[in-house]
Amino acid sequence: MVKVLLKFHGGLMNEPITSTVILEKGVKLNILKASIHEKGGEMLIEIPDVFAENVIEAFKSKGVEVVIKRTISVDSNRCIHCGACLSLCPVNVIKMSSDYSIIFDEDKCVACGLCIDACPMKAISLVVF
Amino acid sequence: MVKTLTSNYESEKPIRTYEEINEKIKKGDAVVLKADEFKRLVKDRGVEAVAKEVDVVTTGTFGAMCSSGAVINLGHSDPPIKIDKAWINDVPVCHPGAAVDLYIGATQMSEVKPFEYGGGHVIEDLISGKEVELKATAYGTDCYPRTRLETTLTKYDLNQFYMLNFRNSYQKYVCATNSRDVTIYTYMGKLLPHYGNATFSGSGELNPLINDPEYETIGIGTKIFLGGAKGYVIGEGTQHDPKNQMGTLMVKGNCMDMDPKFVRGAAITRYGTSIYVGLGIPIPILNLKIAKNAAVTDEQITVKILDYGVPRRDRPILGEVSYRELKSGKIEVLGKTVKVSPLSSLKGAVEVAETLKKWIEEGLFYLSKPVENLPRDSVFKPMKEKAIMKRIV
Ligand code: SF4
Ligand code: SF4
Repeated sequence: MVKVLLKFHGGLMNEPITSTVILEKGVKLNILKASIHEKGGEMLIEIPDVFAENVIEAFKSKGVEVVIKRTISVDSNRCIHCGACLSLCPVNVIKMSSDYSIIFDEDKCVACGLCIDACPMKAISLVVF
Repeated sequence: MVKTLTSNYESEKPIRTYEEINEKIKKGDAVVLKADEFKRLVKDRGVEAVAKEVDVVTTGTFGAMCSSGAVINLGHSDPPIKIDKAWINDVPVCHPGAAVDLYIGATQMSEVKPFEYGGGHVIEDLISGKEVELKATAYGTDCYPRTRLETTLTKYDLNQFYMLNFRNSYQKYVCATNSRDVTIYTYMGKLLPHYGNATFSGSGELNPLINDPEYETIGIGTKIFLGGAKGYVIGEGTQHDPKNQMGTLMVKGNCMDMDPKFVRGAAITRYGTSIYVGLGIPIPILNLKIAKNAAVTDEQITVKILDYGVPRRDRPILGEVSYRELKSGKIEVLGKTVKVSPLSSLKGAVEVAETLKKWIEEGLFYLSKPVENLPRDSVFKPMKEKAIMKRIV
């Protein structure tokens, strides 16, 4: 599943864009969050991997802004808490706790990718959500 | 002078013997502390009092140890083969002896997935019980006619599978940084340009050799924790450099009993593959001198900061820093505060010391007296090169 944030600006509010995309592409979308405000609306959806590219294009062609958020994912079975990644992060996502565990505050990650090739266990990967 | 001699004599007066410690382990009442716990107690109660109570201090380290590998014996095929070249999971393995003995070197890289998979991963996979693919070729002899072999194996198909590492567990290591304008990838990890970060290796006050710097309890035959199983010190490691507090160990252990949690294949970007090995040594508190040495703390252990941007044997020294500062996550390099990464797993080092402590407390591990202690006076020489080659470089 690919997670994307759809931003519907001003004039798009009155059109049934989401339903149109669902019918056109024959895809089941998972709506995780939706909100409407004066300037437009936002919707966080999940798209099955195989449809992702197609569905994103469809929304874009209808004037919707599509934000793909990226972050890192750490494979806890591979990570040995060596800390090789620790000094590479420019925004302090990676920290060492008092018991020497290496912990990641993924929400702060800007997906710069600097830590990824520093890991000797190849435990870190970039993910799209 | 006389006074010093007396006090040396005093501090070397035996408090307990190996036999007494093992007797206590058997009864289940040996007092065992991890190195960090021991140091804390010494700080609170003083070394004399603590030395009387504590029988054993356990140490540990869990880091990349490139000069590691495993010896395996395959058993004979029919018709038999005297292997000339061999590969396991496409990693070339060395054939150093008779027909079906192989040595899997940790830094040998896969010919299909170089820099991703190597000898260290083969060893980890075998220890995990996974199946690996063996390919071998030979020139064929009258007694060993076979010239090609392809089969799959797990560790249960092998006759012997033991770790044999010729240099492990450096007493302490350097701190690395980089003066260049570009990021460099070294065996000391990824180093950002303009001293953008630093890295260090080793576990400081938890390290085995640093807690017995005169090697009074460590030598050939010392029983140790190696990769999650029992192992032995079989001598000093290559490049053993005791005068600079850079002693090393040569070790052996049975891979059949090892735990993949403590033996991990590693891929160090643009450097190559390696292996992370967990290693721990129990230090018997035989006298006050040994206790005092084992009370050493991170503040007292200092290492040089070297510029890995200069790829020469003698790299520029930019300063000196203690393990305490290194473990804090930030150090000063040329007046600038930089983030520092450990490369050894400090968490893993504590787990090694903790596991060893548990084994001793539960009567699963007895201490052994070395038959010969590690040398304290050997030197680590540079390479002899031809003068002409030096000019070319
Ligand atoms: S990708 Fe960049 S921001 Fe995210 S954790 Fe790694 S170094 Fe930090
Ligand atoms: S470098 Fe890799 S193995 Fe080491 S702490 Fe970071 S994620 Fe874990």
